[in-house]
Amino acid sequence: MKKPVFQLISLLVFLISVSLLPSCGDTCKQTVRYQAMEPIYISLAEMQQSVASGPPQALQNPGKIWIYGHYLFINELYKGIHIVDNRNPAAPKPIGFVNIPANVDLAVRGQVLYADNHTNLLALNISDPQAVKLSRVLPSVFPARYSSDPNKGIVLDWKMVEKEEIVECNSPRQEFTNLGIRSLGSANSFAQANTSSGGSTGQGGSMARFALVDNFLYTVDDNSLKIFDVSTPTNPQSLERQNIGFGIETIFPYEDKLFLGSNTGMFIFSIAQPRKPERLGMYSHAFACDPVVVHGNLAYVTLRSGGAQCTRASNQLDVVDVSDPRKPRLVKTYPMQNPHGLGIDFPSLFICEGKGGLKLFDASDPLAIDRHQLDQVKDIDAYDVIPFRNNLIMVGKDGIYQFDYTSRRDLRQISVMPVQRQ
Amino acid sequence: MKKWLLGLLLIGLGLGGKLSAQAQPGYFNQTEFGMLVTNQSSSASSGKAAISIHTTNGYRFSQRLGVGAGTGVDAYEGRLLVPLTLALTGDLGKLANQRVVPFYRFAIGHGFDLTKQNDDRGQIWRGGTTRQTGGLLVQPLLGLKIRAGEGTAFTFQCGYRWQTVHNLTEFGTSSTDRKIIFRRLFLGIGFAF
Repeated sequence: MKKPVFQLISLLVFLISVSLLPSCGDTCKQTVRYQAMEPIYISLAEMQQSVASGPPQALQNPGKIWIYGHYLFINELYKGIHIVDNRNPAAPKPIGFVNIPANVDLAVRGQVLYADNHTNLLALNISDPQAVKLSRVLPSVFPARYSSDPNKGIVLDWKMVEKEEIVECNSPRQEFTNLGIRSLGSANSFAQANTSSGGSTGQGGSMARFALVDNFLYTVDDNSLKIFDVSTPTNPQSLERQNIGFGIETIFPYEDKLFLGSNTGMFIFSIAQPRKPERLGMYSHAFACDPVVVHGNLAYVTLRSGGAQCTRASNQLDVVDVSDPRKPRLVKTYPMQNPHGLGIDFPSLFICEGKGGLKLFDASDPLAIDRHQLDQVKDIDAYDVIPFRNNLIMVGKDGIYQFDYTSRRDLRQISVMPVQRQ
Repeated sequence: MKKWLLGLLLIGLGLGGKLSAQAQPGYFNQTEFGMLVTNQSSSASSGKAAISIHTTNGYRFSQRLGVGAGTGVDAYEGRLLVPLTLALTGDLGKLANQRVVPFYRFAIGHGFDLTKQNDDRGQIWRGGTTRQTGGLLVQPLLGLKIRAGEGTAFTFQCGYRWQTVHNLTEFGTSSTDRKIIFRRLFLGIGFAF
């Protein structure tokens, strides 16, 4: 091979190399796809403006219930309140929906519906249930239950979204670091119904956080008891707030006392001076989720495991003697399956057992309640009940059930309003 | 592996038919061995050179244009690809009249990843899967043919290789598609019929 050939080859290789080398260099980009929970924001102004009465809507995620007269008020978790005409319990008729973002709790007195709206307390005139009007807003009376962004507002809800990002390969592994975590778990613990008492105020469920007694509205949040003067129903006034502890879940008014269910026990407060509730005593129990109802000198407390807060609790019914409210005393414990809400229309005791259905006991003998189970409705996922004049309203996972318990020995289903989940 | 490579080479030679490294129409073969080099390391690779063996067989319509199909083996670091390509090629002179003529080839195709798949590789937690796939390949090159005998020639070539590959990782509802583009300078030697 002659010299010019090698020179030509060398020249060719050199020229091509010089021209191409700058373009050489491997590259890498990664497309990361993942599912994440994305917050749905609503500004405080939008939230207040959107409080409005509208046509009936489908039940999708019912929460607490309040019975008032012939009406049922059913919370749609974080969205508002359904109003149902229940003059005929065999055919309850939805007549309206009050849009209240971030709503979880409610109570009704006279012609006024009280509802929480994030940190606000709303008083709504329901003299015309089909045209509910906002009467008063008490701002910032409840602790913030939701995270917030100063520019976007509060995180009202979360939605699952598919995310896709294109990043350099040496970036952190986005598919693991960007996974969203829903942080409203605590709010889900309210997704059950409630009961309280009070003649002209109607009745709620055992999971209630609002209680109306005479001219006062008592509310509980995770660690405090708050008092409102509602002597002028449409113009509630915020009074004082008492720190109680932590893990407060429910409130049940009975005569001149309030019974507060918490993770660690049942608190008893006297409301002889309604503006200044006085703590009388506490019945302690193992860490559990526990609504409470009371009749006479006995409190019925269900403890259950489940949820983020009560993972290691036992499932039982405690009957507690509260004749001396400063020294409540356990009378007897009964093992249960997974008790949630309960209600009493003495001697009938109704206990929701979650997936175990609904049980009816005769509680005449507090030492032998388990031997007097009168009926059980299986194949329903029962959360809470309100017994009211032989008509039992039960909140289930798949609907609002009504039973007739006139016979006191069995439960006869008379209607169901089905939940239409999306 | 050696037997397999030898097989590919023989297939290439066997398909040669009437050899036509010179300008006459007819079947042709171009086979080369070379290196795919880069001048830098990156997040995509350490920058080690890859070894490439490739053979192209086809039909030459004229001195300046032939069409062929090619295959071979590209051994990148941690990854073994078998490319299947379509190529246009031609000489920029008459080898019968000259001892040395330049030639060109433009190949496009797909590099198939034959790397043994390992489901646990690269996983932070157990339960996910990882797999590698190949991708598009483009290679333009220029070279010189040096007449070696009747209808045969040695070749020296220099070109550019653009090859995409993917590392797919799936874990639950998450997935990551790492798209790596090898952009390499190809330097090779070979022979042609």
